Amino acid sequence: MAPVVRRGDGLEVPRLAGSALAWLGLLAGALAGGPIQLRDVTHQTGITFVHTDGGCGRRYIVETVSAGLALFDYDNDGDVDVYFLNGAPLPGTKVDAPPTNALYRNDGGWRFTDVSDEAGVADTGYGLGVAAGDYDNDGDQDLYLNNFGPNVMYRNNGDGTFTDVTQPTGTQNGSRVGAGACFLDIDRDGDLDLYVANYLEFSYDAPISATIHGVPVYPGPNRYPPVPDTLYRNNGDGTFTDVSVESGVGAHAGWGMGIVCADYDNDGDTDVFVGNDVAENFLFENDGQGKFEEVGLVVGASYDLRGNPQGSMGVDCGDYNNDGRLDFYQTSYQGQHAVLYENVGGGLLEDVTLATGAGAGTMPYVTWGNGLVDFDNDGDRDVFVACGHLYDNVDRFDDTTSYLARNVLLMNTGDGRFVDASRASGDGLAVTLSSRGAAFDDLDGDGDVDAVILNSRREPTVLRNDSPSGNRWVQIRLRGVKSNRDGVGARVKVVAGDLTQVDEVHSGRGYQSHYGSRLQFGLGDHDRIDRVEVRWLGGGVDVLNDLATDQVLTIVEGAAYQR
Amino acid sequence: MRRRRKAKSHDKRDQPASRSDSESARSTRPWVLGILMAICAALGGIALVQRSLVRDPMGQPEVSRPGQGESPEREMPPFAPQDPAFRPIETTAQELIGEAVRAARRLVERFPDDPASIDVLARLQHHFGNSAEAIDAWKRCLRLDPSFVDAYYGIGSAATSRQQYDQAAQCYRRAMALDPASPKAPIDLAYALMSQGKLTEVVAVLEESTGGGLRSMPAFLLLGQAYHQLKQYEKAKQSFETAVRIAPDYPSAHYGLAMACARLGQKDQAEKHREEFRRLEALDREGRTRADTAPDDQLSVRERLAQAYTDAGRAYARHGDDGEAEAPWRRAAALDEGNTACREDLAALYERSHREQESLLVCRELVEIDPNNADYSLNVGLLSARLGRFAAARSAVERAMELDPRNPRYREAYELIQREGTK
Repeated sequence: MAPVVRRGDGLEVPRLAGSALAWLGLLAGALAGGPIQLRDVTHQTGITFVHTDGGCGRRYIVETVSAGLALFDYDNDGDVDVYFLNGAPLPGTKVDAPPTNALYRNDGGWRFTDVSDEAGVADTGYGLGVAAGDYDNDGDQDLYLNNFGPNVMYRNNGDGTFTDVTQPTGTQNGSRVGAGACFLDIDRDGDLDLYVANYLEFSYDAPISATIHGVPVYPGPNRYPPVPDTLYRNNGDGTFTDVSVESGVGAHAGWGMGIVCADYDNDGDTDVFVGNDVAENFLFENDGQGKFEEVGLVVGASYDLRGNPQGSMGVDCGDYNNDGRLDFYQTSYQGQHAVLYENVGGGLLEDVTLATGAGAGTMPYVTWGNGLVDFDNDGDRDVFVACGHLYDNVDRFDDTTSYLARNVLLMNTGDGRFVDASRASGDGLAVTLSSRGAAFDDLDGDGDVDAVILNSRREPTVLRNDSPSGNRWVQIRLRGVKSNRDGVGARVKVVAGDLTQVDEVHSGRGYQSHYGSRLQFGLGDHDRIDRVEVRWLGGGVDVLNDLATDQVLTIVEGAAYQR
Repeated sequence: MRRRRKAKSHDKRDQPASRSDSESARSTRPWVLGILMAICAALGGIALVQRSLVRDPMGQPEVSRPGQGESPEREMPPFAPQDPAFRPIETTAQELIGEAVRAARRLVERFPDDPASIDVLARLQHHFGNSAEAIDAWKRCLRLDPSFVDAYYGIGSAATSRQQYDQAAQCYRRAMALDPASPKAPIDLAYALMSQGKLTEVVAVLEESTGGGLRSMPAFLLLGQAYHQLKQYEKAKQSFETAVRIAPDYPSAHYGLAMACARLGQKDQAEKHREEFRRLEALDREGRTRADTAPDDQLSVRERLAQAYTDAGRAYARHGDDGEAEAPWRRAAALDEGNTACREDLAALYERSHREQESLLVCRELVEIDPNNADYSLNVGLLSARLGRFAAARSAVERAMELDPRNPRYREAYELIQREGTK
């Protein structure tokens, strides 16, 4: 049976399309900078969202950690839409109209329209983390919001609207301080389960104040008790069951922040990497049946090179050195490098930050959203790091950092090292705000990955990738049949000449965000793809041979089966 | 409520590296030694001891006359005379910091050509978040004295915190050249190089230093980490093992060993060190949690400012201006009721200014802060004897003897006081 492959999938926008202005911008960027060029196009997008942390000066800790965002195709029209989380008024804050989350429909040509109300996703809860996934396998991506307060599950109705199904699904998760969230299939039964990170135990009844050198600041997380995360098993009938305890996850209390789910040991099931603030990270190893053992210390994921716990914020994964194993990148607190954990095989991760330069430029800042993303399509993954302090008055007691900061772009040189390319990568890296979540996808369908960053208390930043590389690429969208419909957890290998890359479909990643449902592979100057291999979570393998580059492939499970 | 005093060793991890810290510690010794020397001298001639021990509180020589008997114990005046340096600390931390910076600036104005005085200001600026001005001040030190090694450490530390590792490495190399015996310079240099990913240079620096006799846990720890990053796991393991031998309770060394053993396929050893790391890390975490649960910013600010005032006082004293030295030392004492360094300096100042009564009060505070310090008790005894309070003197020296029964000096002092007290 022939593979079900749709070329372009309606996204056949010319690779360098755009106005003369765009060309001029591209040319200027190419002359001024390096091979990666990210342009700040926020003001031409029509996006008017402004984040609020809901604070009034009382300095509640939740203000510092809001919020993530999601890039996903809510209306199945083939382009990627944007969903921003927002804070909500905290005690002492009065507002005329409550701020809401915002869904922006991608209209093409870098124009976006706010459809929050008509889509029914203008949640007024205090947003922290988000994941998109088709939990009911009906062909569209649903949304889960991990809030401070009750969480929300929005079922996508398939007609551009959503229904709040939190109560019937049983996924409210009490009223906690949330963090990252991920859909994953813990037991490979074909439906998506849900991992919900919890940050800490918070109460208004016990206000906590803090100062540094006499300057009032937000209290640190370890002034509050840590809490275990929550794991929901999908019952397959539209409801979920809390299996935190029986799965083993509930035995470990931490200050959960960003999470990513990935098959770190390549054994065919999905494990969970939890970045914990001010404490050791958790790596929950799946036994394939949905039971988890915390192996972070044994594996080398819990601490940095020195054996120090990090102020972990966001976590992403990707194969930075193209050795076929998924590595992990974790952002952290000021005074700590963001950490690259190389997967060295044999069930071991190793902090290679210093040897690879993967922490360059990150030390002075609090670092948040992150992505292992091939911005220049040269076949290796670069690193984007969102920066910004959580103390809005940090300049009063520390001149080595700042609340507002430029984000960091580390370019992969292809030999296992990174160089800080932030100053040579376009005006998008000159934006100076206090960033939190960051998400990456091809927003204009031109074959390279763009970026959207949520900035605390400010407008977001939208970065158009104008890199002049001319490199080839392929984007792959999976459609599960036996396994979950989004293909979450499936592993894809792409071989083009001497270049072999792997990636996995994730739902929820980075700093409490969601992006990358559609996999992106840069191919350098390879003009043919020799082989694409998909290993579905249920165990099936589909193989496609001899494919053209510069296209979006949609691979349907089983329909593309080849040996 | 008065906080219970506790002797403490100030944690300098977050302060600019400075050799003057250790010099400060050393500078407290001469006073103690001076008094002990007086005792030794007393063994050869009571008259000297009499002159040495017995003066009136106002500094007028007063020789204890035989048969005069023991002076009655007088109620001590409160240790808070009408002096602005002793006014209650009710101002905010920010005001206290501003006041200290102004005091440090005055010191620099007074001794504009003295790098050590400028260094006091620089370290204060750096600690309280003004690294740019700190670097400027240290550069000024170097213009005045290119061999002023503390400035290199200072700039190196500030540059590290600003992620300017090249500059930091240059400074530490200069510090190494000027201060070859210091264990600190190669470690700081190695850290700066490590932060740039210059792992082979890290190995070169530390192999040379450790080969030259440097036996420092952080050095071997860094060396192990560098070897590990270079994937030379056997050498990494050896370095971590040396670090563990030097400091068996330091978790990072066990972590390094566990990781190196894991990479070498030595699973049992990896597990053993992982377990030890887990145990030690749990203890560390417990300490961190305690500190984080009830952090006292005001206290830590005061402690750091007290160090700065202590250093400022020492700068005045080095220039022979005891009069100017007193106020900062007293301010330090008022700011940090656990600070022994400023009190030792004050006690010595009063003693050499013939103000035994005040010296005795300060020495009593020192005993209260660190009751297990035998020298402090001895000094209370000697000063009490000078003031003719022989019962109190005997009691204090008895305490010193209890604390350190093998030390003959305390017994000799006791016998001397016995003789003097019964004349």
